[in-house]
Amino acid sequence: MNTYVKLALSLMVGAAAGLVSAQYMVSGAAGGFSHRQGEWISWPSTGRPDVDPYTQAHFLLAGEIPAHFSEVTTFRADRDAAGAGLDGSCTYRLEIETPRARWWSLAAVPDSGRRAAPGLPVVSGATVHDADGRLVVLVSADPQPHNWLRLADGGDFALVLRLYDADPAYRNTLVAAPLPAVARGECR
Amino acid sequence: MRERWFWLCVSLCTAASVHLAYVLFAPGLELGERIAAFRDRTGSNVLALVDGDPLFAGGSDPSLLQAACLYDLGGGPVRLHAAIPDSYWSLEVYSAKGVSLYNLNDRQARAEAVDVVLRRRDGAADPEDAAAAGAIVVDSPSDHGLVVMRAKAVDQGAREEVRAVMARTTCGPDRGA
Repeated sequence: MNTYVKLALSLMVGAAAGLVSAQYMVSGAAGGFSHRQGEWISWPSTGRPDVDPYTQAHFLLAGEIPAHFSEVTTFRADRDAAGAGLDGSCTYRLEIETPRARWWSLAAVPDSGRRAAPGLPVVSGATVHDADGRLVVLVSADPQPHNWLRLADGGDFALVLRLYDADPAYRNTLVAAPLPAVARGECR
Repeated sequence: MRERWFWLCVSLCTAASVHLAYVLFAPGLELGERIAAFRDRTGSNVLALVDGDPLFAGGSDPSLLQAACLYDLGGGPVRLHAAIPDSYWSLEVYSAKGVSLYNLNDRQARAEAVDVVLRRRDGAADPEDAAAAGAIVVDSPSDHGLVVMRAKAVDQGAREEVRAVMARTTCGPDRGA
């Protein structure tokens, strides 16, 4: 095979491998820069002055400018407790255990690649407890009683739970934050 | 056999270079483009509400109202006079690469307003003058960066209240207190 062809092939294979490996690690699937707790994932280095380059790349390439680590601790779930992707045609149930934070918000965002606007979040202090004293949030495109996190459309989505001014032990992953299980209910 | 190892090395070196370039440079380029577009819309050393602005389109909490000021220290220090609403509020200063330089929230501020003076790290301006006047002095490693204020505003009424308070916030060249 011609030397130039071999060179071109080597460069192309190398470039593809480099790009794929970089995107894989930036996504949090490998490298140890993210922390997984059940179906929720967080990035402990987020918003720190000494943030690692993979965490910084993860958020900046997603179009986000993350807040300081002491202000917001963010958890994201793009699958339910059974491991299936979050489907906008289904209803999900989350039972929230009050975290040690000044306040929190739970939002549903379009899955990566879609530009649909997120709906209004559920925010602590504007929620109701049921007769048993539990704080249950139902995530659905169809109207739900009590704490309803409305899905903007029927597409795939992710849940983002943000704890504001939270216990430092959560962001340092020294203590597991009380993250709710994402239980799938009925689907259309 | 040696030739195969050679081409394998070429591939590996290329892979490493592309990997590092993507991780180290692509984020800064992406942020730089968004900031440049934001500057075209709002200008520098000017405060702007950024509800729905593409600068923050990815990953913003819908329960927050955000305002931003792109600072340019080419003409000297910049002063931000920030009015603080009754709800949760935070202020954060970022470098041009999106690294956090300083942050403050309403509980830490314990005031209805704060003054923040931004200056170059190697600037000649005397920080004691600003500090003596009660301002917080933040050193920036470069002439350009971003100040973002975030306030809790869950419903339309709260958003109007917070918007009215933020309208009293100013960002511009430092002319003293």
